[in-house]
Amino acid sequence: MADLNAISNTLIKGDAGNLTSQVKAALDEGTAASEILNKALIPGMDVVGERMENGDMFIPEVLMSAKAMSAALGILKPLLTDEESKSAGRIIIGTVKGDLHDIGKNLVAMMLESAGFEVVNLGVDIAPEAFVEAVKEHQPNLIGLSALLTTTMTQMQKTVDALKESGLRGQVKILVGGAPVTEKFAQEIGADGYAPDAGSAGKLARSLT
Amino acid sequence: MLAQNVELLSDDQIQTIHEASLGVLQEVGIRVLNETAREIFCRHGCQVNTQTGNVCFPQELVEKWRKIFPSTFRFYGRDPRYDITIPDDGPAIATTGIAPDVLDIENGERRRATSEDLSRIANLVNMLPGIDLFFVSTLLSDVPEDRYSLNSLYISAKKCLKPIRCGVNTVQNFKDIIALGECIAGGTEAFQERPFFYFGHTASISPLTINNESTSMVIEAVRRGLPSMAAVVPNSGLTAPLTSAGTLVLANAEFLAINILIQMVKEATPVIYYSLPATSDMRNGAFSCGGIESGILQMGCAQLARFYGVPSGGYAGATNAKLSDAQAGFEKGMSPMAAMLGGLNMVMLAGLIDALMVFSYPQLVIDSEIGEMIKRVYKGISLDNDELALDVIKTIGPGGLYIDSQHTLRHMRTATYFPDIASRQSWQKWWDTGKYDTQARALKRVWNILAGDNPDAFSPDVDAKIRATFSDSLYVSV
Ligand code: B12
Repeated sequence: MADLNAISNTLIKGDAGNLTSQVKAALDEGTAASEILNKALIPGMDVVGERMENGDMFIPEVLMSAKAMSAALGILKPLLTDEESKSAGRIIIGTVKGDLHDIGKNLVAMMLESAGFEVVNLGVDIAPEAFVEAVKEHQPNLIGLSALLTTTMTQMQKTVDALKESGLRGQVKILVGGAPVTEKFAQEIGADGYAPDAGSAGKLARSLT
Repeated sequence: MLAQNVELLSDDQIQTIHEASLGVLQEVGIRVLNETAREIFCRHGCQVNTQTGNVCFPQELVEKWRKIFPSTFRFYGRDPRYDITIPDDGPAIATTGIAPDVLDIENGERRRATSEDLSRIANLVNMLPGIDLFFVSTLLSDVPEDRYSLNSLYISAKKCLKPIRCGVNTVQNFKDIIALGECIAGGTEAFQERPFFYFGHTASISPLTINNESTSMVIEAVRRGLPSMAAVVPNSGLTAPLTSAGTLVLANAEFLAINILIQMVKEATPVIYYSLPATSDMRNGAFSCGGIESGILQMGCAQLARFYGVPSGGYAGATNAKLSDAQAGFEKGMSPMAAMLGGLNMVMLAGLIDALMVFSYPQLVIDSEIGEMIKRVYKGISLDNDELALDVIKTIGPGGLYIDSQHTLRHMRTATYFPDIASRQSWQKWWDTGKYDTQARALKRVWNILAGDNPDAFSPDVDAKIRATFSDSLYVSV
């Protein structure tokens, strides 16, 4: 019988190499892919999330665990049903027009990936129309807008409006963030959520899907 | 003056960092997103990869160009009394910018900054003795974005004689501010001779990127002879290696690349080894500019600047504190002091809190005091006979007090620094006079200054002339 606990622990340690061999060994022994996913990997990532929140795990460690997770999923995916291997959701993320700040946005993207989302990172200086096009192309559940300048925050409103005008607003939830952005501002422009940092962005995204 | 700087690194270590940066520039290169800049680099012998936009710098080329960096940078004030040249007249203390928010002067609540705020800030900076350079502190939520540079410089220069710096976003902004400068100075030549407006930019983006739009602005500024300062902003752990040594290697490569570009545009353009180094908190990614690492890294930058023979300057003491509390005090005390002892010639510390997001009036006054103390340390002590005080030591002998000696009388107003904000009252007196804390005392001083006249403000006719010249682009009533 495969040691699911050991697999969890290897995941928490962020050791992708060992994790993939442990997962393969478990499969060879006849453990079902869904059991490995639901009883070892997902509980492992839950622990990672908890430890990050408590400050026991640092961001680079969390990202290592996330990488290990996706390596393990690469092995399991062909053996899982579509339903079982469904990602947490797809999110498009970008920094709004006129703004080149992307450090926080990229960190949020990495954390969302580690929370199980499929992330399409559009980059910086993204015009409202480009967000609209990207929504049409990628059909995401969520869209994340980042702005670090008060002067570009207005582009968030414009992007929300552009999504409304194109009739796509109903099919995506909109998250906003960036140092000058506030919860109140998010409400004013009609966004669905605001998170002050990368850790809470993952939680917020999960709560909206 | 201090007999010597505190050296963070040995000569060998400096050499190691220098060579490592040369290696990075030669092997990894810089991604240059601006076409004109790529052409300039190419024309001077850098290898440009047309597919990626990456530019690699042969070592000999860097060695040749870095030797022509001028050794001084002069800041002109609207009044020559406030001219300051670094490193000679340093350490210069500067304000920091550009915060979107202020803590309201009346109720302390956080809100967007306006023209009225900037006008008050300019007035305060003009009067505060610890601050030498006014780098525009806030944005203006009541002015259209494309007129920000002109309006912020107008408001600032109107109240403040010290050298002023702001950001510039478009070529039109340049034309505006040069026109404003000429109008204030009383002619094209007068302003060219003493260009009292400075332009700070972030054309260099870590890691190893030179961006498109701001680089056009830089090239424009250099060609027009408007002094500019190219910031290098490595964020250890996110956009730079987490370790201080790695951050210095990267920042140094970026410093060399952007400033060599500037020299290639116009040789012997004055430059500053200008940086905002900060770490990222690995627990949550927070931009930790209040961290002591910023002070340590500035010591390293200052030393590298000395190695290249250029003046140094940058942010030290950009606190993460949310109000003028003890955290603001020690973060704004320790890193700037470390940086100054390490030889940083321009210490940018005054005015902002919350990781450069918010301007605080009382903090500005407190920071002026910190600036004065830092300069006091830099001044060191003098050892002439009178200061050695051997005579008076003999006269007083064992026992006794020095307070009624001629020697004390002679020195009593100058030998020590008199803080304005730090309290030295007895407990009882402090209690009886309202038990004000630092922030409250500083705010009182703010109101005191603002209640007084500002003799340095534009005269009504100069002001009328400027308003007439820019009637359709000045949006401010202050
Ligand atoms: C690094 C930096 C830069 C770098 C950017 C490099 C890059 N690749 O991004 C450089 C040096 C290039 C730069 C340039 C400029 N900058 Co700048 N910059 C900063 C600085 C110091 C740190 C930002 C940062 O990276 N923080 C670290 C990350 C991890 O945090 P974060 O971005 O806040 O993101 C977190 C949260 O906000 C949230 N989040 C972010 N996005 C999203 C999105 C979603 C959907 C969610 C849910 C959450 C979320 O989660 C993130 C992770 O925890 C800030 C100061 C500050 N305190 O923010 C100034 C700051 C933002 N910049 C400022 C300015 C003025 C400029 C310039 C105009 C300067 C100039 N004169 O050239 C230019 C503008 C260029 C442009 N057109 O965009 C001002 C902005 C004032 C304002 N609000 O309008 C600030 C506040 C500094 C200051 N006081 O001067 N800058």
